[in-house]
Amino acid sequence: MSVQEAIRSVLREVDPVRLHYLEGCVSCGLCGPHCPFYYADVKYEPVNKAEEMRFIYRKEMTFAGKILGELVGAKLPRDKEDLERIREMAYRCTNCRYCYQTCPLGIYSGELIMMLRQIIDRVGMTPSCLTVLKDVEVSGNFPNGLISAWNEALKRAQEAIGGELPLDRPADLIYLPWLIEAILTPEVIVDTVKLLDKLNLNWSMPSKPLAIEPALGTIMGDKKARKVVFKRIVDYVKSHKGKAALLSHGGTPYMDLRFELPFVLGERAPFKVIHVVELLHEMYSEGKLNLKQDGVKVTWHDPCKMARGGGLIEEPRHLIKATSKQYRDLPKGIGMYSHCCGGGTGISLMAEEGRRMLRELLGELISSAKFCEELEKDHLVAVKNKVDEIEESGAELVVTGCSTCIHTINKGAKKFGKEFKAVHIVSYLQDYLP
Amino acid sequence: MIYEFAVYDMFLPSIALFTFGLIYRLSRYAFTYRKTARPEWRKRPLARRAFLLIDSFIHAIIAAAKKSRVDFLVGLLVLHTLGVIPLLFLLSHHVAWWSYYFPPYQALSFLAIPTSATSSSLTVTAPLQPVSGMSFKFVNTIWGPLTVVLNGDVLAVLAIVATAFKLADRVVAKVKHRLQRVNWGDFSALILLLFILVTGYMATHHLPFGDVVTYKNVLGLHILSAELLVILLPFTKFFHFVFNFWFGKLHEVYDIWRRGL
Ligand code: SF4
Ligand code: SF4
Repeated sequence: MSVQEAIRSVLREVDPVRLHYLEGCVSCGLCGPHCPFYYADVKYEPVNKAEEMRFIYRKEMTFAGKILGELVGAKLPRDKEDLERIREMAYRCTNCRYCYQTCPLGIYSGELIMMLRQIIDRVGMTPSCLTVLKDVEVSGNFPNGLISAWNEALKRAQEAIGGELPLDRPADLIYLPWLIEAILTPEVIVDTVKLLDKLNLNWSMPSKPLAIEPALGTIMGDKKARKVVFKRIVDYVKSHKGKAALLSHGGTPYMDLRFELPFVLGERAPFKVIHVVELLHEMYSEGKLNLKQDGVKVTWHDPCKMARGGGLIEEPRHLIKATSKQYRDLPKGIGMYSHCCGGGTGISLMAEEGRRMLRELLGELISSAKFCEELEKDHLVAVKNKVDEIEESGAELVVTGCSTCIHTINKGAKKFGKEFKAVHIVSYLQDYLP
Repeated sequence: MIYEFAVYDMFLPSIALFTFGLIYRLSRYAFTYRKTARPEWRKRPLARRAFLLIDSFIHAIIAAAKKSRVDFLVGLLVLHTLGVIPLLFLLSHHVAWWSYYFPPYQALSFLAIPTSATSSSLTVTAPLQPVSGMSFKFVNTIWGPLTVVLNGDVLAVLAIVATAFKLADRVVAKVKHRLQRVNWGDFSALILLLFILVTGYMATHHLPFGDVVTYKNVLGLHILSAELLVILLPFTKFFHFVFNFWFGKLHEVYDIWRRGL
């Protein structure tokens, strides 16, 4: 697609809310210090990144922009250099929503930055490490390396429950683990299966992966790819008569399937989408889940997509507080004000460790690129801020609900010599079940 | 000449142009609206929702107070809360002005702020009854001794200093940090605001000279530049004051209610 076509197709999707994001900013800069990438370089403050989209919008959609051009901050990308600058800006964002909650005018710069990713994708400039993965996800034909990671996780889960896994059966609860979990945190799949088995629920899971991290099209701005993958997931749950799709990954897949799916498919899914924290909290509140208590120094890290993006703030805390008298919140902000780990929305996949893991599984399909190497430096600044905050809390264990956060925090802890460890809540609770 | 032009010739055109701009801007919002399927709301208690409704209007301010202290002090507190908003809506001259065109505004006259500390005694001990066709006690305010600080002079100086600071801040952002988000629109909006504040202050104090002609010219410039702001309002960042702040915050409330924060 040409640059002009890409821009016009993206601007066609401007609705009143995006129009407000595009037009309402007063350039006060208050969103700046809340962005995890601001500390890598001031130019990555949310408003400055989003301004790239405003330049384009003004030029294409306002009278003043068309007539007065750059005088009123209206311009289109002219050459490769401009597009590369836009791509750099677009990939210094984890879509964490913190800028949204801290803008006095309720402007979500991350949404405009995702529009930039759409343009970049439509002109064919998405970093190749992501495009390769997305194409694999859309095709549904997963290479052997990925399938063996999936099979290994399922084998471990089967051994853990000492019986057959309920694969591809009709059930009320359809557990949907993703390939990315099998790669980054296979223990989360194993421990979720153990929990579901122990709680004696009517559940099942797919024998083959439905997606890598649905939808990779979301994080790179490919709407068609997103739709294909969402449809596959909805069809699977429907055909297995699921009343609810259960997720253990509290990152983009949870927020997207829970809150964005109707916008993508044009209708609501005929089942609920729930995170395992919701299921456990409901059972705990109804007295169906008993938990033991001890004194481990533990904290909860709010995954952005679960807290700001998903509203699950109190639920995990109730569960963890029931297990430990030494629970403490993170010092710099929780829930709506929690600090992003710096790894979401594809960033950790493009960072060195993520690319190395994928290269091992996919062979030469994933090549390293200069772009990803530069991103790594900025990503590590954000990661360091997060692990420093966890260290300040004095917690020995940081519990969370998202595989990307676990991977990113543990990587940061190792890199910066921290003593604590990040685990998923399903893994943490294993020790507290009677 | 300038005064007559501003008061008698430009007032209605400026309101008409503002109305046109307002309709144009709002219609863009209406025309981009599309009906779509929406996700199921997460259930939360009503009390939580009520709290979030209020919290949404203040949490960004709290976040600014924690992480951007200077911007919070200068931009939000001094420029908005202490400066422009009370000056525009409550300075006694402005209360009279608003009331002339919109008589129910008189109801706010008990909140009117005097122009200077020296006139504060009037508000408590001797409320003035101006002799004119629209005469009412607009200086009979409730602020009492507080007017020693809560007066036009102090608030105008605060607003002028804060606006000048904001201008300097934008220069630093542009020159030192080379931030592309700072543009010509930012500078022109702040310069216009500064001009209105300075001419208002000068007119009140009959500066630079005490003769009637100069006074009327400076006051005329003050009114004319304010009318220019009114005309430009729907097309500039000043629109946040009329629309974007309210739309943004109400949408945010809707969004966090839906997600069940
Ligand atoms: S806080 Fe909001 S209004 Fe201020 S610069 Fe950021 S996006 Fe713009
Ligand atoms: S969504 Fe998060 S990472 Fe993206 S610009 Fe906003 S604060 Fe920064």
